[in-house]
Amino acid sequence: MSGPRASGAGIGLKPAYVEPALAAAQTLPWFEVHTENYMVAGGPRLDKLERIRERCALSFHGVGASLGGPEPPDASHLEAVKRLVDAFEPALVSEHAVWSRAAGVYYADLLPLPRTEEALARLADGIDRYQEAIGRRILVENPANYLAFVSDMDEPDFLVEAARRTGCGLLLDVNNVYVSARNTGIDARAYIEALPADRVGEIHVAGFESDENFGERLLVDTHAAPVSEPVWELLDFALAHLGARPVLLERDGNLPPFETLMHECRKAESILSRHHGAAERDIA
Amino acid sequence: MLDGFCEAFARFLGNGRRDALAPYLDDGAEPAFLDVYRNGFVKTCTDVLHASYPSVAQLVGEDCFKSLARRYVDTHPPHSASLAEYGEAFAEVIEETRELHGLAYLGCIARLDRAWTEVYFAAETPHGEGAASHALAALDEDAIAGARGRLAGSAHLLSLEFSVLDAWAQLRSGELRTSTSIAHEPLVALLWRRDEEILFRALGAPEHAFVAGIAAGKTFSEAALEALERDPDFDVSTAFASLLAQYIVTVDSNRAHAGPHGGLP
Repeated sequence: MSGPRASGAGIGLKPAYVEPALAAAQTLPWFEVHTENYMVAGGPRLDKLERIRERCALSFHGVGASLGGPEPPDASHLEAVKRLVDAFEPALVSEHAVWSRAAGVYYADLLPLPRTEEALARLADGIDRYQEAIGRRILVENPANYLAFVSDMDEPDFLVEAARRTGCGLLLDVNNVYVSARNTGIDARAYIEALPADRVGEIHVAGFESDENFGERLLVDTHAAPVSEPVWELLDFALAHLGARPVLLERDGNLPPFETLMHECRKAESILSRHHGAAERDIA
Repeated sequence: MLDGFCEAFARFLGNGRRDALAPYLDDGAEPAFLDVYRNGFVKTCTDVLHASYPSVAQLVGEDCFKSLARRYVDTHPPHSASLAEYGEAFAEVIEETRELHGLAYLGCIARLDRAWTEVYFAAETPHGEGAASHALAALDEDAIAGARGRLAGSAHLLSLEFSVLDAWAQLRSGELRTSTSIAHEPLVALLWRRDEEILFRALGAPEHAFVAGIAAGKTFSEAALEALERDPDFDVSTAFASLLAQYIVTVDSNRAHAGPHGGLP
């Protein structure tokens, strides 16, 4: 069961934006939160999210399940996700095609998987466990890649096969595709064209920064800058291929005022408006 | 292959040596780019510590805080993806690494920051606000003395070696006044949450004994006697009323029964 549908452009809701969002008189977009930030026993953070939920659709975006890791997703973590999903009934639930946990240590980053048959099987198993635990279909996001590892298949094939095996949908992070293309030399548009439209349920856009040591040779998915023009163009291309989808603007660092982010969100909305001829699909 | 890859990656994240990952890199991949992942791991943990220990950061400055955080991440990596409460042992590490900051009382500042986080994320009191007065209204004086209570879900008692509460309060509000003194004197602080606000105050020895007795499950009368042992002039009634009014103490009516003492001492 899920609450109001996420439609149009939304914003990643950092704790710093909760108060201005609650105080805003204008119509609010839908919001996406990092699921793990709400795995707390109680207190104002949960109370405020409840107040946001009364006004807007929510999406829960997990960053710590380690779906493709060397050990299965932690059972207590999945139970915590289920409690939140049951309590808030988010419109969308998503995670990443990465790993982050080994030998009991949580590495607090989205770590890459080699795209091998073995890793594919492990990822599919992690997605199955996650979906079974929360009783819902999820969307799985493509990672940002900084260098290429030994692999048996391209990333779109890897992700689409994981989705086929598990029934999950895909979350296309356009900024990640752009960053990966610049860092590893893949063709960003060919990547997007390789994704079946009926598998993609949400799109992310965000800003990147150049690495302080390697400059333009290495772009880092920091979410600490405005969305770049090439990424807006790639969003337009993706929407033309996929049709209209909920588009989420992520911002996790160098946080601008809420109104600045709302302005950037309106830009996403204006690009989306060019593609309203293609019906927005709700595959979640 | 996957287990070997993840094991080599985890080793690299721990020690920064990239050689173990060389067999897994594609032709043409730049090994130095791996550092993005290690930097990301350390930065995320450091940012979480910074958000949880703002007073420590303000007191020692950004560079010193990064050194302390780095030491902590190396020795106490997270075990849960729920990072809101990461940093449980940061005060201990601060006390073990005095050569990095030179402040004997910094661990006490860290313990207060930590208590703030625990109070902020604590579960609600099951009975909710107002339960204390409602429960007491149904009891006569003897029953009150024999009743037992409990601390509100968010209430947190903290024993400190240094009297840093005023300094910490100023740091939390953004500015430490130069006139603030810190003495090597034991202090007990009580922190609790009321709506969205974190409240705190120092407790004297008798009030600490009273609150600790209630927290330990003693009857109000037994807790009051412990307070009076510390100070025969302690005003139990006023302290009790204050604790109830501030929702620090709640009364479980299921645990209320007539006691043997005939009212609070």
